[in-house]
Amino acid sequence: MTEEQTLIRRVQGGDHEAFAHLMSRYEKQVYTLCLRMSGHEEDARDLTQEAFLKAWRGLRFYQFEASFSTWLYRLTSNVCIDFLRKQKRQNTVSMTLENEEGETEEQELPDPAALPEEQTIQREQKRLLYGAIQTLDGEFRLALTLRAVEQLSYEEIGEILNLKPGTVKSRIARARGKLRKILAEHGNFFCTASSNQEEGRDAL
Amino acid sequence: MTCEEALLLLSGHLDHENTPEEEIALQAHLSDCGTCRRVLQELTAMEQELTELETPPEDLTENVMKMITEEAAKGKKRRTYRWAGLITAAALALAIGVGTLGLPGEAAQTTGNVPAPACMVQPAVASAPAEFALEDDGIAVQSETEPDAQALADSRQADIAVLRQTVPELEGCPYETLEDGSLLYTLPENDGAVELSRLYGAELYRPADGGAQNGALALVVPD
Repeated sequence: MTEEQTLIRRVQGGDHEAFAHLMSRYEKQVYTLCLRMSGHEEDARDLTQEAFLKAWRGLRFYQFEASFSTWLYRLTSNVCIDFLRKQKRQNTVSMTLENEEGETEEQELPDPAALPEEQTIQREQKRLLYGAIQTLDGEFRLALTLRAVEQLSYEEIGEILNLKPGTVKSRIARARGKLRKILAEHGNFFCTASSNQEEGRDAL
Repeated sequence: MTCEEALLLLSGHLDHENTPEEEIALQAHLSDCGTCRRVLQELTAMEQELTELETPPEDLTENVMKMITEEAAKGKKRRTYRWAGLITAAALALAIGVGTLGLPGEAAQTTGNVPAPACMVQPAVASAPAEFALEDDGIAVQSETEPDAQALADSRQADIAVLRQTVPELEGCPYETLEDGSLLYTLPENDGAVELSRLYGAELYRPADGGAQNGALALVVPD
């Protein structure tokens, strides 16, 4: 039995401290997933708390049939999907439109000039990226985040989203393509990267 | 290969999910296409930002642990109330039994919670103590089941219909016995729980509002 499985057994026996240990292993991943999905720190914090509370309640019934990380990310994904749906219902009169592929239409990114001067280029890049991610449709955003942040395989993501691995692959590719396009059009995200244009080939 | 097709393989390349054949095809395309070489370079730069983990607020663990402790304490209290209800019910039954035998007084006094000698069935039930009434009106039972059934739905990623007794539809379905003695049936159809809810008014618990779903279950919690 792995150390993690031992921790889970202890949690199933009602051990709070074991749950705190388990949380400390996954809090960054869960929080980052929630932040990417909600786009706001306050919401991400609430969603992370909700996900862990649900995990605590649900662990009693966890049967080790899926790996714990996949189980936890699936639970967190559902919390995030629920949140986005509720948000969408609340904003039915907003101007957000969906095209035929289910992606939300591109929105103007916040004006970079509004940022305080002391913020670094790195922070600016991150802000641009987060803004761009928010323009993706929720399910595309989720597939890409589960891959990039949680490092799950296409198969594992397919299990979570009830999709075939091939569909996961195309969703992630389209999400990446769209992000790249937005970032190339807005701001100077790729400025530092474009100084060594031929490096792309070496990466293969 | 078009550049659009190449994007699929570029993305698969970053994720190490391409087949060897796909990798060869991609390489052949890249040697001819400067645009896609640039795209790969930009996607690689983007990836570094995408994979970065964020640091959660410092009080996150503390907040969750506080919620859990409160919930555990509440659960304990609920169980105590339930006990109190059962004991009172037993006392009432005893008092009623004794009452009908024509021996009031003593038995009723020892229970403490039961007011007045119970000589008649009706008055004794009507004056049952508050916690017994709370347990018996159905609402309290429901709130007892609710967090567990929801947790079960979240954990198993399945719709769950909660029933108070078995129904013909469950015959032949595989089931497991949970630690509290409830029976958990696996239903053959994905919409089985919704159907039981429609047919028998079973309470329905779902993992997410129409989210991913791995089947349907029925939880039979006998009264």
